[in-house]
Amino acid sequence: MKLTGIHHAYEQPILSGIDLTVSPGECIGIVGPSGSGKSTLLQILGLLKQPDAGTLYLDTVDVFTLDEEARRKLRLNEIGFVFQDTHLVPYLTVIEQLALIQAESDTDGDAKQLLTDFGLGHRLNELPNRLSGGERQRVAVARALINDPLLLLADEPTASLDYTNGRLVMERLAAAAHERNKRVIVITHDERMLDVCDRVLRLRDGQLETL
Amino acid sequence: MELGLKEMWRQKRRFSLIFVITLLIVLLTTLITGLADGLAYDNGATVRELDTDTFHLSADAEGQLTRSFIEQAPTDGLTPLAVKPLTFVNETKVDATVFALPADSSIGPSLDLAVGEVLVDPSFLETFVVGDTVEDFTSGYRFTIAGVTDGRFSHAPVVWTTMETWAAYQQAAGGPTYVSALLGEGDTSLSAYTKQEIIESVPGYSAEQGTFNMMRGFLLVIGAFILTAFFYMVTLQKLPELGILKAIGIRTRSIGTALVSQVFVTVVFASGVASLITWLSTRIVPEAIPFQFELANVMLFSALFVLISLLGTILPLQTLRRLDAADALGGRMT
Repeated sequence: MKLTGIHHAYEQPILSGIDLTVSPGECIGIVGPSGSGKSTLLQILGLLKQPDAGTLYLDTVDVFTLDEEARRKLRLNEIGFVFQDTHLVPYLTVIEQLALIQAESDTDGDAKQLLTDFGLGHRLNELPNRLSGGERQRVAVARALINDPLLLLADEPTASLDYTNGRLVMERLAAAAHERNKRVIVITHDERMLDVCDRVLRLRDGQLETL
Repeated sequence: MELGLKEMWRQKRRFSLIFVITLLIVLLTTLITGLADGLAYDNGATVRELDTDTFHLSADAEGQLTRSFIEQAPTDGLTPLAVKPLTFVNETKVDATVFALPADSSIGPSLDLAVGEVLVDPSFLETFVVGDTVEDFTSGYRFTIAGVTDGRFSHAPVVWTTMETWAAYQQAAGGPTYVSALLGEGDTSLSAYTKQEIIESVPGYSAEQGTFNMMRGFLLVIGAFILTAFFYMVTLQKLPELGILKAIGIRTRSIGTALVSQVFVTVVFASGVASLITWLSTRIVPEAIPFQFELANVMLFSALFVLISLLGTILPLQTLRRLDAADALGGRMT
């Protein structure tokens, strides 16, 4: 995955020439103050926003040249999302959260095995409101991985968790990179969690700098 | 569709409220349909059940059987029909409409009757019994109740008899000898009407049905507005959740199908329950209230309700289509 020369502005420039290459098996942490453009960068990486300028290659495809339907399919099949508040569908059970993605993409990964690997084998038929915060976030990570994506994007995945559960989730994300060979980008404020990342970058003044 | 049904099943409280409201609106529509059909039956059941579709009436009758006076002899192949409202007297008075056909005619009920004998609508038996003799209030002609057959016309019970009895009655009444209509296909100098035109010409029929149709129309529109508003509000409430679904790549069509399926299931289920309650109502509504369960009409209005409700999903579907996943995520990605 290669991001090159990304520029974006609202009333003021917020991203000014972002370059970023992420290799398979690499887990990257991104930090930065509020309003620094982390949200915009993640939306651009997640194909939810077109930048004013720049390219994003996933494999050999410049995704910004694709139409909306093609980008949707890429989001479904090649990008996994983990959100701060998990955003699980409240009326679907744990196993159905993953089945929803599979049904949409006609894939047949072993959702039950994946959830069992995440320590949720005994919670398959529970609704999200019966799970602890840590369990919900693990379901969210499993949901992001079920389609075997190229890229995993996590937005403050530990923000609503205590340290122990946050740590478990970060270790799951790092494991997704190291054991499943995924490219993982984690945005977080919690610097205690960053030691599991292979690289940590700070977004400041529209630029990424290595810490 | 499965997504929508699972949401309904697992969030029963939210959907039971709109189901109850939908049920009440559809029920009101089907009950009004029952009343409209009951009045329609009360007005024209006997005409509707005649086995003919062509009625020849005198030109000045404007399609009203009771205004038509035909003194000419019937043309070959046409069957005379006499219709006249009378007041029958025994110890009490009962208003009814006399219908007369030739005894050997197969257009109406079997009329194996002697001269002077009549078949009466069952409602007559609240006042009289079979074998009673009743007298026409104006002419003094006496009829004998020989049996019972269903029949209603212009909100009055029908009394069936033969042309022989009709002729005897006319003789007693001392007026001109006439019939009201000639039935069947054939050339006459009279005005021809279809059965539906005859029914719609029954005094009050069109006004009654028009009133009910307007009520049903308003109920359909009001119901559709309520459903649209509800599902629009639910869609607005769920925008962040729907934005997440779009963000992770779920097709707008899949999410939209879930919404449409919820509207469809709500209205179809409500229509089914409303139809059942309406059917049960026919057993408890007092006989004095004309109420009829016509499955075809109830199905028609239920189908219209489903159709209009589905049209009402256009608004929330448009909101869903325009929903930008990045905007829906908004401040969460800080």
